[in-house]
Amino acid sequence: MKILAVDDDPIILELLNEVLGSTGYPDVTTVETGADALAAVEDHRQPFDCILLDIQMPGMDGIELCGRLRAMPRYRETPVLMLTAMSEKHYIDRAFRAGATDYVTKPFDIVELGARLRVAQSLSDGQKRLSDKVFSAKAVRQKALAEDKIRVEEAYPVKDVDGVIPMPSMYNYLAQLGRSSLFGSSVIAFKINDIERLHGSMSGFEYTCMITDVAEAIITSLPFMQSLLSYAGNGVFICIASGAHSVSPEVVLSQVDHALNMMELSYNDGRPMTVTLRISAPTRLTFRAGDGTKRAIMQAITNVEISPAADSKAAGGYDSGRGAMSHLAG
Amino acid sequence: MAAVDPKLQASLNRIRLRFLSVLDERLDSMELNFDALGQAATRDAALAGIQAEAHKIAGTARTVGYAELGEIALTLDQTIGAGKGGGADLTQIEQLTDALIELGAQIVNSHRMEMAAE
Repeated sequence: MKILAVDDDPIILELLNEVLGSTGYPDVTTVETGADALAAVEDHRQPFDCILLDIQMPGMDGIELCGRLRAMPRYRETPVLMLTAMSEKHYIDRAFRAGATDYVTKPFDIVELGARLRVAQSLSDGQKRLSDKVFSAKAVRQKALAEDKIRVEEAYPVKDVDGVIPMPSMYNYLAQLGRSSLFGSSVIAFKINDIERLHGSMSGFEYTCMITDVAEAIITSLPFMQSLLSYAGNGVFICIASGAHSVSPEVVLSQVDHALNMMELSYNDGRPMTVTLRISAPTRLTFRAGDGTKRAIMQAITNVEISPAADSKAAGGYDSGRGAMSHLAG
Repeated sequence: MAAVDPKLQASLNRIRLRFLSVLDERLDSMELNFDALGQAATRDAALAGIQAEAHKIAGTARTVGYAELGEIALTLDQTIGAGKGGGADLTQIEQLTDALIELGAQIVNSHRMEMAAE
């Protein structure tokens, strides 16, 4: 795995060179500024497979650099680990919003850093396999793309929507938040009704467009100050928000409905696409040892999954498809 | 820190020496900024200078074997960060800076004595 490490402290760069080399990652390029990092990514014929960024650097900071990298097609999905001493929530929020995959707090533990890199490598390997398919010969490519229609249960990573991050990044984000940062935060789940039927009725391209449009409708119409959203597969979106208990789920759902209606979703052939959602009641996130936040997410997913349209409210969910609230989506 | 292989340990020892050499320079810079804290005209720049050095010390000290130094540096970094935009607790910042310089100087001096004894 080819790694780029960016930090204005030469001691950190020396440490990374040694530590990464000893944990099986000897191919490390180090630079001290954001500008040098951009030059490095533009120069290399063979792209980096993983990028480590410090946040606090003179000139361009690591968060801005992460955003600049994400704007490059080649680095849209490359694992980016923020390696930083900044542990305050607003830095963590900004880093993940800018596209960070993971967040490692300095001073780093050598063993932990190695473990995080192995996770990054598995992400990188997966992306390479997909790229190899996409860039193969045209006929093979079309066949591959047809076969590669994402499965209904797949957690498709929505791209280019501000505030929407891949599910693995969401778990990493939550793992970084401490007790005080989680205080007042809740998890809410949204689910697209009839997702299996919709999945079967459209092409892979139409399906990913629909997921992206719904994500955009949700994140742009949420009435909460701070929120992050991920797509978890099976038509389910997970939202982490502050102050969610002060707003009724029906109100939230009606705002998302309105946003979806305004989008006028349609199939490629122009037919209108009807998409309706349901929403779970908010589940408070509390800081507990082990997998506390994961359990809260699973609870929210269960609430929204098990609530059939006819009795969603009783099961802790609310459904926009009841009554006359279906959408012309497209 | 978990068990580290001997080759990596040798590299870490070399980096530790480099850390100590840079630490000496960072403590000098902090002392100059510490003196400038007393004057309103230079206070903001002095605080920024102290925070930048503390931030870097906090990022590496524990990994190269100086956990207590790293803890003080981190507290100092966060205390200055929290006081930005007014409301900085100058007394606490001065105490922490003083403690950091004192402990850092002890570490550098004891290293020098070890080197001289070899």
